[in-house]
Amino acid sequence: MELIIGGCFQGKLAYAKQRWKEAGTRVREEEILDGGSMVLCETAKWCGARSTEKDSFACVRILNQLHLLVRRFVETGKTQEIIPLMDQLLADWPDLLIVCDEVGLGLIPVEETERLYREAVGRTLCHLARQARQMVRITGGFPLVIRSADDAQLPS
Amino acid sequence: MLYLITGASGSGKSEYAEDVACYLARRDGMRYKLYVATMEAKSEEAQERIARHKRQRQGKGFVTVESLYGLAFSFPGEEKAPFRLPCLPQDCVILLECLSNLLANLMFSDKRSGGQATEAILSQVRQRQRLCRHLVIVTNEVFSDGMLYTGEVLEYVRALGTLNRLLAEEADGFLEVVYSVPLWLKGDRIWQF
Repeated sequence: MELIIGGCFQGKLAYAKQRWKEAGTRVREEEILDGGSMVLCETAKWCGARSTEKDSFACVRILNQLHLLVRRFVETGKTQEIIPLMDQLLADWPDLLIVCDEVGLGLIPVEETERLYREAVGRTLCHLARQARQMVRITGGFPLVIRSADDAQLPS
Repeated sequence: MLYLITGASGSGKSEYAEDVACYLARRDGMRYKLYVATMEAKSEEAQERIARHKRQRQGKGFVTVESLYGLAFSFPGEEKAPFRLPCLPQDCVILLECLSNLLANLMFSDKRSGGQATEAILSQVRQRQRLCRHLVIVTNEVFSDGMLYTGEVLEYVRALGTLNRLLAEEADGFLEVVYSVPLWLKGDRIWQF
């Protein structure tokens, strides 16, 4: 798994597709999950369309807009279910590229949901960063490698 | 030595800073790790946050000093400050958690201007040799939310930005914790844990 973070509209998804291309794979649109609209079943465990449309959904290569997925959980009071969901996704798709906006770089919002949202996005990213093969921050389309597999500074 | 650690909300910067303080104390054989807590337990949410931070540093051997206005300490024999350090400076690493709270306390509870609060914090930090061998300061990245603030909020953001710049310039090490991963902006990568 690789983590691609940064501000909005910086070319994060394009970078993710480029990474797959470098690995010899052209990502099809149906191989991209969108955090804002992906299907979640009642128990909040990921089921996507895999169980119903197995053939067209045989592979997930990119999870886009993770922040929007986190937001859906926070808004429904299920914040603690995000990490188990991520673990399940990664067990199914260990080569996933995860794309997420950075949303925690501002003053603490007055509204409680907004505060919880920013905090939850941060905590989720911490959890993922610890196991990511690489984490990059995209600015103006360019990647700044924050962590790579050969980095001697890997956190425990 | 002075170390400045910044990061987004929920980035894991506090936990990382605790590990830095523990590393420095261990490496240099220092007996005291002082955790200067600046958060006021005003609301239930703040209390929960404080409790979470306490759980997080449990077992790491910190002595917690609740000090809303920063590093106002004294040594045995001096009676002025509310908290007396239990040891000599060379035996002590101080972790200040965090600059953004301290600045807010000085500006909004103690009614100082942004400039006055900045001066007060800088002068405290500059006296650190009197207090400790290592000072680790946690600050906050609040500068990229695209909001156009006015009045005292704008003054606060400007003051925190100024403090970050000035302290980073004086610091021996300056880094951003990006979701638990350190991104070094200044200084050698002296620790690994």
